[in-house]
Amino acid sequence: MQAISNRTAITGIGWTAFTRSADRSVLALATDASLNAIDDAGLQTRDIDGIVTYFHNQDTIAPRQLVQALGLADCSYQMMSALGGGWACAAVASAAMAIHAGLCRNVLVFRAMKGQSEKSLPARIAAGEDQWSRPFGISHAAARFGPHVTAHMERYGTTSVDFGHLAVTQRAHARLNRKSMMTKPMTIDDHQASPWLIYPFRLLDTCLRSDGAVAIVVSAADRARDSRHGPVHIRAMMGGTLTNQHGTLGTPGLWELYAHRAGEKLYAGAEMTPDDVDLFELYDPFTGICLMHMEGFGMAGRGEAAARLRAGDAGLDGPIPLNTHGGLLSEAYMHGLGHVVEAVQQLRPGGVRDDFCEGAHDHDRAHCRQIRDARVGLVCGECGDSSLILTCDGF
Amino acid sequence: MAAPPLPTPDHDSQPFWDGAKAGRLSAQRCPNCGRFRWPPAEYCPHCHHHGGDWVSLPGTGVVQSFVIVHRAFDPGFEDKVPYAVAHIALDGADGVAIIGNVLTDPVDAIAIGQRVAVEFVDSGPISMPRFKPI
Repeated sequence: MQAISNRTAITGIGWTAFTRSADRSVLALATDASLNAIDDAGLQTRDIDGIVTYFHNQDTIAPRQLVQALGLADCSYQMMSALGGGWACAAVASAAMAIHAGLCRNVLVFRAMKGQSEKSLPARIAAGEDQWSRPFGISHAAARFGPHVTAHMERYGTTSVDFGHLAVTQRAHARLNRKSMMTKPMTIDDHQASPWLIYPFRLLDTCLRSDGAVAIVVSAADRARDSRHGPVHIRAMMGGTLTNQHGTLGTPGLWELYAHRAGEKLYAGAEMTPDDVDLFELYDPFTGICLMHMEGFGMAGRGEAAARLRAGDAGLDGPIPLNTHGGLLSEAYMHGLGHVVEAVQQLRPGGVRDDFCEGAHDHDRAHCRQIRDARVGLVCGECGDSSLILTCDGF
Repeated sequence: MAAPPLPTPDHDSQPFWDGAKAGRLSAQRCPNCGRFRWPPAEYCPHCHHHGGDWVSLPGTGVVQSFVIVHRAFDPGFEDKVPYAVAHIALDGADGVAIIGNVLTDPVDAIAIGQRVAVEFVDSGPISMPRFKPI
């Protein structure tokens, strides 16, 4: 077990509406989600003494701006990483480490952006590692990560229809989520009829762009017992990377992501195996990359993720429920922190609160997205560069 | 109409772009351990020797993998879609693969394992490599 295993817990979660055009500032979005998360934890703003965030292309606010907006008297630890979706779980891990090290009592982790209404144009210069990619027409992540998926298709016979099964599964989950941006039913035919954006990805293989914010409160486990909705413990964490000669984050070779290395260490750190995990919330910028995450974290053997998706195993009642909120493909693009929020909801005693159940969860998939007997959840960021294993209270 | 961004050569990469201007595809080899490296760098990532020799390559290689861009997210490429971007393993430089455009007709004729050869296209201060099937 890692020295930090079960010493910290997620006590609060909060979010704003996810939209295509938020008629308010990124600071307002961050403040809204943060106040919701602090209240959800049963805490006051004065209990927060650390702030962590991450971004891509300078699209968000600095921790100091949230210190100001929340009127915090002090902030003992701040962290702001430029590493984007690879850092989603590392953001939570960083908060947990600051608490375990004794710097902080409760750390707020947030991700806020106007990813649709204020999306940035690609840079006009191609310097540093970009000189080897951008001049050749790689500006979108689908072109950067796509070759790994094309290679997977060639080696294992994975097809666009297989990707459709993931997109359709996640859309079905999103339809049971009040937060979701995409709620129209989707069939495999719909997926196959959607246009190519960047082969091997169609429009419906590709993540959304969103305006909005999510926030999480991390607390010391021994102080978390009294939290309003009960603690969800952080059992193990990983945050690392390997890079290839093209500078693609977390991809040591065409046929491997860092997930394949991190998974082994994460499970060892938790003293668990993939069979112990009840739900998986895996970063899904593009369907094919999510399939590779599935294999990296042991949901399926190498080249076998497609067969598990075709069998329906990743559904809410399957043996390996995946992206139970709809993910980046169908809920919203909250850069992976939304995946953490979903795992926490599924693992709380009261379960998810933003599906369409009236009263207790009954697992009727006409309105309920709570999975049965959720005790252990695994979450990962882009390429598996960061990951978490979370457990329900009393596990 | 926006143009595609041109590479900005730096201390590590200048010899590559100088070679390209002279119609030469090249890569860096360690004079100590003899291994190739990519991207260019002052230090060998294998033995950490300081310095590297630039070696002219035959200019041929094999497509390792690819994508086909149908929608340009960079305005500089709007008049170029659809186009293929590939990882190309270079002959004569073991372990080195670079990113490059491969021109096939039609564009989706590109395939993993296809052999290709470089040509250079003059773009002002820079000559850009691109590849065609052989």
